[in-house]
Amino acid sequence: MHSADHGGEATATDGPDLDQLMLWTAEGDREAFSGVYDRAAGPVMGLVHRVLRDPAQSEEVVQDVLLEVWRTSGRFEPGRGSAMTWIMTLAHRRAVDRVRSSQAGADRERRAVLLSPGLPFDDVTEQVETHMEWQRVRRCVHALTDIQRETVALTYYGGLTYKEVAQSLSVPLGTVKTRLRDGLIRLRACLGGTP
Amino acid sequence: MNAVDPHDASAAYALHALPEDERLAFERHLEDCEACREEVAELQATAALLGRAAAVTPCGRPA
Repeated sequence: MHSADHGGEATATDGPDLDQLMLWTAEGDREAFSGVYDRAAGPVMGLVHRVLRDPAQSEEVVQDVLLEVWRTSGRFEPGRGSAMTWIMTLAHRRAVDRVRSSQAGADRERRAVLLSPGLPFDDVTEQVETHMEWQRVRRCVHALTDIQRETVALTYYGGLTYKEVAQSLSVPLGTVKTRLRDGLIRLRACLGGTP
Repeated sequence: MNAVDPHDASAAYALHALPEDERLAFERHLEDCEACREEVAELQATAALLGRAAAVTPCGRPA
C-alpha cells in the first residue's frame, strides 16, 4: 500500500530506501517486503553460500532467513543500525547456527580446509573486485595484519567460535578475542560508514 | 572463565563467534551496558560489510 505512493518506477536500486521498506514490511505491507526481498536476497545468498559452502543447505537457510525477515521485521529498529546490517546479521547468525548443528564429525575436516593457505578472503576479493564499493572493502581487509585477517575470516566466513580458532591456531583464548576486536575496529576505521 | 572483561567479547559477539553459554552471558551484560550495545551495533555494521562483500550477483545484476 505505501509503496504505491512512490510511483511505479521504483526498481531494486531506486525508490524508498531499505530502512523505510522494512518499516512498511513490519506493518504487513507485502509490496514493501517484495522490495526488501529484491535488495536483500543477493547479499543474503552470497553470505550464506560463503559460510555453508553447500548449495542445498544454503538454499534452505536463505529461504528461512528471508521468511524470518518477513515475520520478525517488527524487531528492526532504525536507530540501532541500517536494515541491511540487521538482515545480514540475521543471515550470518542462521548460517553459523546451521554450520554448528550439522558440523559434529565434520569439524576437523572443515578446520583443515579453512586453515589451508589462500583461504578464505581470496575468494571474496575475486567476486567483488568489479564493484567500486567492494574494492574499498578489499583495500581495508588487506590493511589488516595477516593474523587479524585470518582470525576474522575463520570466525566470520568459517563459522568457527573463537575457542575453536584458538585451538586451531594454538593461541590463548584471550589473544583470539583481542585479534577479533582489533581487526574489526581497524576495519571499521578504514571503511567509515554503514553498509 | 567468565571472570574475563566482558568488553573483550564484543567483536566475538558481533561475529557470532561466542559459544552458546558465553553468548547468553554477554547478552545479559548488554542489557546493562549502553556503551557495549553501541559498540556491538557498530561492529555488527562492519561485519555486515564483510557479509556484503561475499554477495553473489544473481542473474548478472549487481547485488
